[in-house]
Amino acid sequence: MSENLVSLQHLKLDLITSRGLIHAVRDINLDIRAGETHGIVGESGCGKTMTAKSILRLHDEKKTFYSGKILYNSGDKTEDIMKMNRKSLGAIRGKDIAMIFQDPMTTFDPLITVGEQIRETILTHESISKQEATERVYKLLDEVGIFPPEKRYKQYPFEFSGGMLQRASIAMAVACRPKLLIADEATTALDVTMQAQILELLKKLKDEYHMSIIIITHNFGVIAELCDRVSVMYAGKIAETGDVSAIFHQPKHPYTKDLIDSIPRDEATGEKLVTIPGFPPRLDREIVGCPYAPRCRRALPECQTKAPELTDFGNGHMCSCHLYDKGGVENV
Amino acid sequence: MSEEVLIRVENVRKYFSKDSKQVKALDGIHLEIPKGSFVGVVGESGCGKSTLGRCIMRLIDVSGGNIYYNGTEITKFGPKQMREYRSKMQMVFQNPFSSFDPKRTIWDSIAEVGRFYKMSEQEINQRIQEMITWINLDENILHRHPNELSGGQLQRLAIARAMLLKPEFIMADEPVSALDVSVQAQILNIFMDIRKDSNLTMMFISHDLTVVRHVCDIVVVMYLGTVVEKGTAEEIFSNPTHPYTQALLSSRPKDDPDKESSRIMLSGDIPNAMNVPSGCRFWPRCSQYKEGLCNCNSPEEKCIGGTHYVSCLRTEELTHAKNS
Amino acid sequence: MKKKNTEREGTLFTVPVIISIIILAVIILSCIFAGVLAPCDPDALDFTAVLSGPTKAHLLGTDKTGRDILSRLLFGGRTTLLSALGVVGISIIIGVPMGLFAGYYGGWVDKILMRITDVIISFPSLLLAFVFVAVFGRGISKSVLALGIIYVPMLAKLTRSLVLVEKNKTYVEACRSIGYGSGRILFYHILPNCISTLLVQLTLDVGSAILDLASLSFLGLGVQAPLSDWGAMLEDGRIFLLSHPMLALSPAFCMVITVVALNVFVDGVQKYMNPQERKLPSYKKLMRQHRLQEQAQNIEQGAA
Repeated sequence: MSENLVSLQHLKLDLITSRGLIHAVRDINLDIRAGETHGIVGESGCGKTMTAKSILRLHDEKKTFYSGKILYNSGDKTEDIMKMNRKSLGAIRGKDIAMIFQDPMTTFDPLITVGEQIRETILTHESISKQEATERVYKLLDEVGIFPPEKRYKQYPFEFSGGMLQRASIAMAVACRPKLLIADEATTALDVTMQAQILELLKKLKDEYHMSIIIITHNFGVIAELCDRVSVMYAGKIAETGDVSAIFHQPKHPYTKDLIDSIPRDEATGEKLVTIPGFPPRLDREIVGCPYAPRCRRALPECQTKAPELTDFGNGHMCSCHLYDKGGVENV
Repeated sequence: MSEEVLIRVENVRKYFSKDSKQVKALDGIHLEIPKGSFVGVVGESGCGKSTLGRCIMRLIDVSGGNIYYNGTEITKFGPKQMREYRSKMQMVFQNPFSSFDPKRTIWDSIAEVGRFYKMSEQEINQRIQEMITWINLDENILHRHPNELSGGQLQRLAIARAMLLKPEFIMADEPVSALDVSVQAQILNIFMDIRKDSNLTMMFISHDLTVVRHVCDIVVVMYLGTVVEKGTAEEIFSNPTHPYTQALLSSRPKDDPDKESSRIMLSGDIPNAMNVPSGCRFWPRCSQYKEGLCNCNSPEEKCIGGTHYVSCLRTEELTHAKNS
Repeated sequence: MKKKNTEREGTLFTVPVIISIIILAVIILSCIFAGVLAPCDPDALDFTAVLSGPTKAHLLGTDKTGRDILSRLLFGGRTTLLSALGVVGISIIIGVPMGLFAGYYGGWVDKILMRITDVIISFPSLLLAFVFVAVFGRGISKSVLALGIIYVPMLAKLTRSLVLVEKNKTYVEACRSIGYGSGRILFYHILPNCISTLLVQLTLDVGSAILDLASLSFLGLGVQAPLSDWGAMLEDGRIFLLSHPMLALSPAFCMVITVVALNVFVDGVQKYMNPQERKLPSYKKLMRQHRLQEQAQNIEQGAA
């Protein structure tokens, strides 16, 4: 049983926007074990990106208010990332925990060569000579499939295609051998053949570097390809967590079921897709009861008024739904 | 689906000049869209599918070739002549959030279409009522501004706007790419209803093969400005013949975590249309590349059965090898 | 100062904006109602009270021919403000359509129109005004026309760049695919979406026009006697700057405060329109609102 590398405990995030206060993340608990690839899946507005950003405290701290803890276990000690000072935070960003984003074009500074930027990451965290760092960058570029490394090192971001640049941002992220890599919709903006390449690359690096990966996406295919465990988010809360196989084949939460059913599939061509009626709830108000209740086909009376408790189905499979209140067995 | 062809695209070429280089966005496209059919055009970025869509809709001019709408050649038509056709050909766009004028209410935007084509207020009201029940939305929504609505609602309204004039043909350019999965399902269901209940013809542009398979009868696969394979959805998905089609199909992430993935990996990047490789455009990334053949000769379209066409120099050779 | 709340959090009516609105309102209303508010006839000569300082009869004093300065400020302000609006009006009528066509059609239309604006811009503005006046004669109407033309290029270029941005948006393509003609697309769809930015620029232009008109009048090229505006008053009062400063300082003060108020107002509007810069309420306040909402909801639930 691996220890938890990162542990989000009762995390709540409130965002001040021009439309008022938005409760973007409402009390989530998430454990990421060392070496595991954990997917966070959900639709737009469910809070998955905010969660990911908050792990590295990349959110706008003037406009975001939080409660709860984000515990990071660096081997020697466990600290709360939210309470770290700037220096400690800077030490883990890019080194212990790294992140790649949806748009590779905006990940890089357009005015500095790509190789320079990757090297800068290395030099920030390790005291080695510039020459050594440059050699490391060549090796990294080679590893992620950017050839020839020496030539590409000197090129600027605009000279790379989207797929290539995303590889470069992966190179930058793994440059210091992080323990955790967070990929926020990393393949959403890519074509399907490019996406396939990036997914294969991540698989390879995962094995080689023994790192944990958090995959944020709305694409279940990506989850099926890469993840060991999955958490499904809805309206700022985690609806269900479990092994990827359990989530796909035995989804417990009605939202997970409905979401998986609404994906077009080769075998079911021509049949109408299951759709979810209604809209996600407004996040600027407090939500009473289960957030999915207004749209849920199997809603019970208590779903509107009482927030569901977490039911544990064993093997790390957990779900918050009133249908399972009597413990592990589905109510008919 | 009838045998009559609504739109015929013959040897259409579209070249742009950018910084004194020529971008061959479309290089000899042959296509037929039968009446009542849903044709899916798939390909990755830079393949020219959006350009093709806009050429057919006459939003941009072609550099060469002909486009026939119901037998009439339309590439040389000016705005006035096209107006007659525009009421029959409507379009749905990729980005629902910017498809409507932000300063006008949805009602205004949709009603304007009717007024422009001289429908009476009564007719317009009636038609709008018909359509909102059909796209399953509340009438109050119509009096809001686009920035108050979600992507799914806006895309449904965009479809309603396109259907207002009871067109013969709808061009849908990546209509679900910008939407969440559950919302995508709603839109696809609407398209499936359209397909069943009317004899509307549609061209559905997408990069997502699974979506196209769900909605379309005919599939056209494009790569770098040319059509590499086309046929019925059945033909293409049960027997993908062109190496690119095969790679495209296998690149899709699996839908079951327990299944093994057997991937045909494409090497390298999608080249851009400014540096088109010599010979067959796909040779630099092709797993079936044969030196001396593929980089020297341009493939021609060959029929391999029924309505299934492939543009590959090695089709016969490879099919032979597969069967023997 | 009470802060009004619009339906969005973060308000347009911050303190600077409210103050500037009040100042502008006072100035504009005073000039409109000059006839009622002015204690004397602005052109009434009174040689018995020449160059008097502030007295009971003449709150701001009189000028060298005994005319009441306060009344002259009010009526002069009317001239100044109307002329400034005229300048901006002319630049709108000519400049906005130029920008619309140049931006939308591109190609030769764009090239020709932009070359015209380039010609106008290449002259220093006052110099061009002089030439105009030299050719067509002096007078307030001619200086308004001259300045209006001088303001055309900036407005045309701004409109053009706004059109270029809107042109590429999906809804414009949708309009074309529906079959709308360019005229409809330009004036019925693109222009309304540019208006808010244009209004901001136009408001600033009113301020610049006030100053430019004052310069022309100061040089004797604008308003001609007996008509007067703030610039002409400035000229009249220049000689007496050290002995009777009120003559020059009062019109100067009016101009400065009008232009500053306009700029502060525009600045506040721009900040409001840009969501990032908008002043947001404090977290405590929002949480308080939410708790109240929650309580209200709980009461509802309890009652149900």
